[in-house]
Amino acid sequence: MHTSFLSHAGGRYFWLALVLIIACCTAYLLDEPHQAPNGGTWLGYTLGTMGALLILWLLYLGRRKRNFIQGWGTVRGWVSAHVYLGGSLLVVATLHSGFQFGINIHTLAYVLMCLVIFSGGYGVWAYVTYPAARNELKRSQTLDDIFMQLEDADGQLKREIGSLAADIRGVVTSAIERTEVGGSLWAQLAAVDHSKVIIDGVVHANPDQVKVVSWLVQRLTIAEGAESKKLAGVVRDYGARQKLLRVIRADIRFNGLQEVWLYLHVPLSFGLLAALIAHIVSVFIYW
Amino acid sequence: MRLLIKYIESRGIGKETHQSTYEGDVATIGRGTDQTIQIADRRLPLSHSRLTVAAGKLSLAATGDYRFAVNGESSRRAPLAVGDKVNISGHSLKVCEGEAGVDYVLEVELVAETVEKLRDRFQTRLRDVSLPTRGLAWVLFLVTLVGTLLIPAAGLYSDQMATLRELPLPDDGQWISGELHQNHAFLGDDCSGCHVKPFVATRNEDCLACHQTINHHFDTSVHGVDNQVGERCGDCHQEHSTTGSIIRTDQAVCTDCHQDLAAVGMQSEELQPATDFSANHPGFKVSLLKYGFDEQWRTARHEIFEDDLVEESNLKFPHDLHLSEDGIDSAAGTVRMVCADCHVPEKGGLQMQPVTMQDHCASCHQLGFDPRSPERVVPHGSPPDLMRTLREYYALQYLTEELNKNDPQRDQTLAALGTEPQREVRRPGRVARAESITDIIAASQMDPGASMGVRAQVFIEGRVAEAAANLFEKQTCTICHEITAVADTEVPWKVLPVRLSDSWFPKSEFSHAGHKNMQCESCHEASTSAVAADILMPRIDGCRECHGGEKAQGLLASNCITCHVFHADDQAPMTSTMHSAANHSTGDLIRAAINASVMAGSLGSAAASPANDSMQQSQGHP
Repeated sequence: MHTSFLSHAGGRYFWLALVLIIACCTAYLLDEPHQAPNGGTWLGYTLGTMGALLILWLLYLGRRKRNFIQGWGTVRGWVSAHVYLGGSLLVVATLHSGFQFGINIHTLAYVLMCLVIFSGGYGVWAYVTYPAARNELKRSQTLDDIFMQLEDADGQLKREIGSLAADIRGVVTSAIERTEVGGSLWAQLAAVDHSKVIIDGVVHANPDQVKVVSWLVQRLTIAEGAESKKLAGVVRDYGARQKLLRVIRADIRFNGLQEVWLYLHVPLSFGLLAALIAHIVSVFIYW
Repeated sequence: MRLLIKYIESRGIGKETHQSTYEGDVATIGRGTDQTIQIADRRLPLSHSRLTVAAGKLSLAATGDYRFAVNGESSRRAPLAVGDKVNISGHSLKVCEGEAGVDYVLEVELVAETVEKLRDRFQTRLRDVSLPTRGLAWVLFLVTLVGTLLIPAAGLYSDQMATLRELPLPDDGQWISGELHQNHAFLGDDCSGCHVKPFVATRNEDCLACHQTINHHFDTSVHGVDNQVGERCGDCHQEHSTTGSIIRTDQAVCTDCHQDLAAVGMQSEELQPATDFSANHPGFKVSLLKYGFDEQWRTARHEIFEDDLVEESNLKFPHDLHLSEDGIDSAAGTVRMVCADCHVPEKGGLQMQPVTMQDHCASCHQLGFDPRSPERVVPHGSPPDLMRTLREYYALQYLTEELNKNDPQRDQTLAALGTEPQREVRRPGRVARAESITDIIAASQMDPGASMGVRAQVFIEGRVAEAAANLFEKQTCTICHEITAVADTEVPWKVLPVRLSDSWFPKSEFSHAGHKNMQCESCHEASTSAVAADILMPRIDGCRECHGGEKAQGLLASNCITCHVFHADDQAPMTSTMHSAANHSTGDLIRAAINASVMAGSLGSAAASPANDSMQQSQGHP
């Protein structure tokens, strides 16, 4: 049976992280540092050392998950630990700071760490939410399958319009040829539809194929006899094509939302690593 | 229904055929391996359509929303006849006449053209967009490392930090972990003033370079260095803290030792254990002055609750009389006095300004001696000066009254000199006190023929003796002072010197400024005190009405340094034992500037302070 990384090994790392958080909070509350809590008390140094080691270990996951040869533990186990212990880092580092913030390298490191953690938190939510939604959307088919169905629908439509009037052939062919899905980062995430259609020699925007479908329906009202019947078939099949495009666009969008955080999470992690080095070294330069 | 299914597949330029037969009512078409007619094309669903025969007629029905085309016509359900050509996703299925025991032959032609996949025309995944993730990671890493660490560190090690600060380049200002305490804010952005050596915690000598007068907590020549509480200044004094406090305020810093001084090898007969102001703190001790037989003042410490405890200031002063609600007689009539008429805190509130005869007593207690000249007073504080003043006064009187008493121009001459003739004054119902000089001389049974010098001396000494006796013994000095007669021809009385305690609780720092919203009587029961010997200092219970320990609930939380200081005034400065010459650069310049200004200020104020005639210092009574 499939087990999520969240419930790996009976939520072992969840409990480990929870114990870590409770231990840190308890130590923080019990500690009487004789000064405002900060990173320079013995508890501050302890929490800071723990936090720094956690960050290094969490960064190591980026390298560990590329190990296809079986090493110590499973990738899923590592991800599970990464998620829960990464979340606990927020508590460890905040207590290390003693809630003292300012405009300096130390707070920069903290802010970068928060951005990394929050982007990772979003990633967890995305990986729990979007795969199921996408599976339901595509009825357990792959996006390739849907594209083949679209290709099929395109071919079918082209065959159907072969015997129809030239204006119909022109409009439908141009709408098929000028259909656009995906695209740039923003186009994928926002499901921007740059599809076009040529009607009477003029290029029109055709988002969600609405322009061409409404043109076909209007054209149907003046069609007669056999043409009317065939055109009705084209309208019906174009509707099916429109549905396929919606599924494709939604899947591209969901996939983008599911993965986009990684494009922040990883670079920010490296920025954090640099800020962490600067934080530690600068503190001891001006000890 | 029996079917012969012939598969025709294109293989390069040739075609390959294979066939199978089927017998049943329903033949299924789809991608699935369980299908009667399998078309292994991913565009097709596992189960696409069903071929059935009913009443000898073939029909094809698609499952779900799938479609097919019969002779070019799109459909979901259609009857089929021999010769019809069905198109399913480009693959064709032709219905042919049956042969050799089969009802129909189905020729299935599978297309295997390789055309561009539709999906490949679009960017359908984020990875297709080729976002520069790896590059961004490197840029973020390097920019952060160079900007926040490498450039400032290069400036530090090349001694060019000042250049960095002037240029729009990152400097060490970003390394600050919190704002400087306001007392250190003048140091500005020069970190090297305190952080002299990289990777070495701020050293004591770096602090003491400025704080040269900071003292040890105890006698280090007896007890060793102050490392009972910490080896570094920074152990107690935390800079760059957002709380604004630079001093360790918890009481553990004191009670770690003071809960049991013997346990840390510092047993003291005077110091009792203390751990908390509410729970465990010894009663107050007062420092009392005592005037010894050797005519020296000494201070002795006493428990404030000792029954026979008296202050020996040698001053007579009834607080109750002065604070009477009915008022007290003064030169200007009856006045109601308040404590602040005499007791005014110094600026800052720690000490009281000295009470002086001149400022606080003389307006009522005028040192006049001759009712005929009430404005003439004797000087306070020096009996020989007092006697000299009397002699001068009566010598002048003899001159102006006796020698010229028969001169008709006398009054005019005196008026021209600005001297009024003596008035005759007397209290109603009494004879005039001032007798004529002739009378006095007559009463002295002196030979009337004596020389004028002898006559003058008899007159002057007689009047001086009488006035001095009045002043010392009856009317003036003895009101406030202890007077004893002595065998001294010059001043035959001795005034015991007065000294008021200027610090009752020298081991603590009490601020009247911080208590100005309270009534004086809340702590000092002066209005019922009839003698100056009363100790009007509060006991610890009085303080505990408002002040609690460090973790007090419902009371003012008060720790050790609320009242006590660590760096004791009476100990040697830490500089003498801990300061070592360090090779400073910028910090030295700053310190030199501060020290110069501090020195100039202290010298200036010392030179400008006027001579103090306070009672505390008036030990000079002979």
